[in-house]
Amino acid sequence: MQVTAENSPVIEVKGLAHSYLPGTPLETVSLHGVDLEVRGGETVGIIGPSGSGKSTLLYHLNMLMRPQKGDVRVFGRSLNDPAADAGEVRRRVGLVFQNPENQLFERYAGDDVAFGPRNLGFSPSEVRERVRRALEMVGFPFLFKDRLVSSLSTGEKRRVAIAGVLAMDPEVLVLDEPSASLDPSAKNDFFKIIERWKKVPGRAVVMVSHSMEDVAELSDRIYVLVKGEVVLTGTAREVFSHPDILTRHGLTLPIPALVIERLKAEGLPVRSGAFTVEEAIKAIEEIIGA
Amino acid sequence: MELLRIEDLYYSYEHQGAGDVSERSFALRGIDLTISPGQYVAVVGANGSGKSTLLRHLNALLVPTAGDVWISGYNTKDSSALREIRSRVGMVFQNPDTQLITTLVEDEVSFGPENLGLPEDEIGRRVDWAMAAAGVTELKSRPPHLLSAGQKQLVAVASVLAMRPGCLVLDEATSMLDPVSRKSVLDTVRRLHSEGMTVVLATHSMEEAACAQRIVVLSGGKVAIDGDPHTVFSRERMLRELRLDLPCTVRIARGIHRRLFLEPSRLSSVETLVRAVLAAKGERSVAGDG
Amino acid sequence: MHKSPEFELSLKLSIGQFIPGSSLVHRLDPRVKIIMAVLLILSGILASRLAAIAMLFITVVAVLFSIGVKPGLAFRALKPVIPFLIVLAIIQMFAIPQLREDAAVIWQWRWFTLTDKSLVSGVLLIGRFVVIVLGLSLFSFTTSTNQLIHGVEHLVRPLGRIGLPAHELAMVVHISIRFLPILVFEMERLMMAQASRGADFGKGRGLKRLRRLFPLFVPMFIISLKHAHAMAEAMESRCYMGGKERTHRVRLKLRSADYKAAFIFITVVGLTLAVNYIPVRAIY
Repeated sequence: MQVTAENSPVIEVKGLAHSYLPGTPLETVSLHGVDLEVRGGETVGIIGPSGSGKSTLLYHLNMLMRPQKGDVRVFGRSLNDPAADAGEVRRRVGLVFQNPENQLFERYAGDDVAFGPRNLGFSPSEVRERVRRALEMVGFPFLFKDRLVSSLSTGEKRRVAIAGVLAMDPEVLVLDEPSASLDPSAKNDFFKIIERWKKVPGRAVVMVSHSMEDVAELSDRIYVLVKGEVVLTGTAREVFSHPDILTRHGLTLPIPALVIERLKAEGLPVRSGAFTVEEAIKAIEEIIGA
Repeated sequence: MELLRIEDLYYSYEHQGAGDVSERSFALRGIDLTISPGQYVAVVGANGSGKSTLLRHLNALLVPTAGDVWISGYNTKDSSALREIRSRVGMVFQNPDTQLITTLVEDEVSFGPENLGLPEDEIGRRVDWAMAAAGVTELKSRPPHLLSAGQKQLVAVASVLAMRPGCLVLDEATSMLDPVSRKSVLDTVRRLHSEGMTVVLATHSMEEAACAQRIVVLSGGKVAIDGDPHTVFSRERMLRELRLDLPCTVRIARGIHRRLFLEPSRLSSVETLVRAVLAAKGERSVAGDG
Repeated sequence: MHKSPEFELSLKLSIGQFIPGSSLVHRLDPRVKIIMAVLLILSGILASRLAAIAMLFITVVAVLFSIGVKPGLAFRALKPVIPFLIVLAIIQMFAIPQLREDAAVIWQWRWFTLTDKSLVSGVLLIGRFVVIVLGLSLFSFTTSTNQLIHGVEHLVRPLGRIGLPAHELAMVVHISIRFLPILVFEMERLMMAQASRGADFGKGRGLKRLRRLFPLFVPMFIISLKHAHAMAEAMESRCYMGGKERTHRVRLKLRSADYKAAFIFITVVGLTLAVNYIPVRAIY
């Protein structure tokens, strides 16, 4: 994809290295020199086995961690620059943690959503407006602000937590295991919210997930992170066309791709590269006739 | 003989209502269920359908508000029977970290037998057997909290097995795991089932549910569907209303316009779908236009 | 290139870190090590003479070098405390009036008076601290949490025979230790989540600063309760019903190495106390 003004990289990671407890006998290297790019308008998926450094990588994207080695540039500004403003970066790059409903602390839902905007120093009327828009984006009416957090279901709490991040008006959304512990219907609702949010041109999404099917369905490009290194990257189609590399590193294919691979292994002339349900259907119909 | 009998089970609890008042809600509204020895039952339902609540009645962590739960002839309301009940029905929970109590795997697996007051040598025998059955013998001198999530869950399985239960209950035990760990836990469960263990598994992954012989679908605290996977997966509309999905392979099969000898609802695993496609392709070739 | 100073607190703990090894001290019975640690701390507190503290210091350092761990690690544990120590020592040396009575003045500037007594007193203060911190580091480097728990549990057992809730006490210690890494991890993740929403925990002072920690208190409280509940369910599911009728797989046995080590250690402590209390003239 040509890099143009409309989709120039909003996040650029070059040679990022990180280790925990450096210089002690317990030093563990978590990232070995990672290169990664996120461009406006795209959804980037990051997959990898546990312990591959995915979370550590995410924490660098909004300056929760500063690079020990290498560079992270957000909207053109290097995070190594001593003048880099963490507050500004964290406003523009919104990070949604795993099980975000655990971070709610206010009594009323509206107050918790307002936490972010208030920290950013907006006036009370601006804060109200942002809370209203954020609640609407996650499917709640403005009146929801007066609901007691303790009376909400887990799914509702999660939506409030996400609204809390959306209220900061980020340009990049970074999601860590967004569908963890969600049932299929809640998961679909969630991804609809993200798609709607992403409609504004220039916005980008970075998603870390264990669910190969979700990543396959939603990502434009994927990075495969194993033991702190990027072992494979490309469009979703390119990445899932290398099942040997994926299985070698302890990863599985999305189920539709698994089906196609098994059919290929049985000698059928099925077209490779299908990784969603729709594509698998088409590929199978091609060889057995509709 | 392990026999779980649930008669007209109702369970209610108090919680915070929408308007700062305490409310009483029913999580279970009249469940009738019998599970025979050696069965492999999956319990599915959206979040809030009552899955976890139901499971907790199986080992008397919760007792009915109304109705009865009988485990091998013991009533769960009988507090003097707790030891009998809990040594016959072992439970593995969702969070790998908080169900591990000790700082050494060997200690973890012996925790249960120690609670039963068994003599030292018997404890040693059970620990060795249980670790082997769960495939964690090489981990025996490691601290549990330093293991991967998948390994932790297998240690949890071992520590439950050491009680020598006839029935293993898993409450979304794989939902916090990556796909490879999930597979290794499910394979272990499948192996134990083939050796005679009764299994009750709560999940919202339809792929996982498809491995069971029987699927109980809960909604709003009631049993909505109870049958083998084929029966359950042929009720697509109902599943959708219950905010559940079909397994990936069933969705693919449904999307293929050409008939595949077997109905889509029977094709709930990659293997069966692949074989059905092969058979369909074979038929075409035989007909002369393959 | 520098690490963010705000996070990774779980990794900053240098006391309390077990470093696997096979030295003599690593292999001692944990009960012996616990008692030695306690005695070391008591001796350190009681020592009121430079010679006594010096003996303890030399002993601890000698053992530290013998366990095969980089001694630098133990001294790392002292780093954060040094400024605090220096302030205390200065106060001790210059500002305690009792130490000025019948003592030879060594140095004086305005109202800061350094006497021979107060100098000794300041050095003793630092010495005690260092001995205790190094001793605790030594203990934690060579004793895994698991060994510690078994040691405590065994030591406390006799109390059970006289009717005290020994097992439950040991279980409380056990669970607290077990919970610590979980809670530290949750706290850290929570801090990062709130910081991602613009929270700044460093700013402000006094009550304002406390208010800023609110987004941490409530969720930590809730998540701790959730985890405690989950752990209780897991324990009950495996028939945990307190200490009654409970057996144990592990039975600690003292070996000759333990007796020898205990003997040597008690000798050292004895000598230290002798040096400390037996009046000798002109030590300084």
